[in-house]
Amino acid sequence: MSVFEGISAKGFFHTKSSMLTVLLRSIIIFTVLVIGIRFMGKRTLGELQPYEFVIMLAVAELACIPMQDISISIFYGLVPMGVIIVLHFAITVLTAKSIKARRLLNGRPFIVIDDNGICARTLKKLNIDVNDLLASIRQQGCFSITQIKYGIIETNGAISLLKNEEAPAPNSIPVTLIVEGRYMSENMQIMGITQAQVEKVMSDNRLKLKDVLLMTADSGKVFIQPKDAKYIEVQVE
Amino acid sequence: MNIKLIVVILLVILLVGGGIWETIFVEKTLRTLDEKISAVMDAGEPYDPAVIEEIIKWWKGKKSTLALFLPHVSINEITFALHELWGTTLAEDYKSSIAVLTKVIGQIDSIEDTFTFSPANIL
Repeated sequence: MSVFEGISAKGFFHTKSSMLTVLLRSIIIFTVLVIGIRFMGKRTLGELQPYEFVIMLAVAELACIPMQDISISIFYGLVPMGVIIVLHFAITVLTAKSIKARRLLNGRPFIVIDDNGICARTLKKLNIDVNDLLASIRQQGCFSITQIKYGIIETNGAISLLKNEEAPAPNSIPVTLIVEGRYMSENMQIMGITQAQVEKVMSDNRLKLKDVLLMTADSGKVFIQPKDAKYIEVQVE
Repeated sequence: MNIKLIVVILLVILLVGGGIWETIFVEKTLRTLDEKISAVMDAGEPYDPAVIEEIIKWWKGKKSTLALFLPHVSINEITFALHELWGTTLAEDYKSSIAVLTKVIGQIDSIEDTFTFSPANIL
């Protein structure tokens, strides 16, 4: 005897199967989600503005709950998704037409590297530490601050660099010796540099440990970025 | 007009229209159930099982649409209570019937309180 005996095509949708319900719900929600994200534009897939990041977080949660919980209506997921699509459209139009709205919702770009080197105050304002900044610039192919004319943190958190084409690339990867007023003892050991040598470089340049935002060394060249002054490059033996 | 704008306008109309229709439908259905149950209560003992059966049939017709808007748990609780009411009237246990009738009215009030579009529920 077939398990499908007695089930007509018409009665198929009234069979007692929670699996089939979940399956169909998942297909519906997935389809709506794909259409919704396509509707919001490709930007939502890559570089996210703060409000777009919030949308992605919310949509992920909204999609999951009605997919698996058949005791609630699918509209509990679809209605908030529809609202989010409408809000996204409204915010996109608003930010395109009003500079004030754009600043309020997206923030504004900040210059974090200029002629003087790293802007410590701006970094502090943006809650970015020096290591994060160094990692970001390395991803752009720059291993030394001197290779950069300007560095801008965009509203989506990405960094844009205007490279200093005249500056030579370092011969080796610069190693951090001091970061935000703290010695990087492990790096010093790797480089075979003593704390006394680092202190001497600082005293030669009339700097105290707490005043140094960043000190790096590579192949006899030391880069010092004071917190409130232009960077210094020193040749050491 | 921009096609995206048209889609968004349609979506807004659907969302707002759906919300208004839902409010009216849920309110009207629960009010009607409340009236039917109150009428049974007002008629007094002996409660007629045929009347309760009619209410159950009517409720079954409405609950599939209600399930689009309300959590199934809330709807099922009323279904269970109505069947319990039917059972007590068939068994002529009218004291229990009064208890279940009062319970159904309480459940209707509770659903209305939980799902009403009100500042308390929004916040």
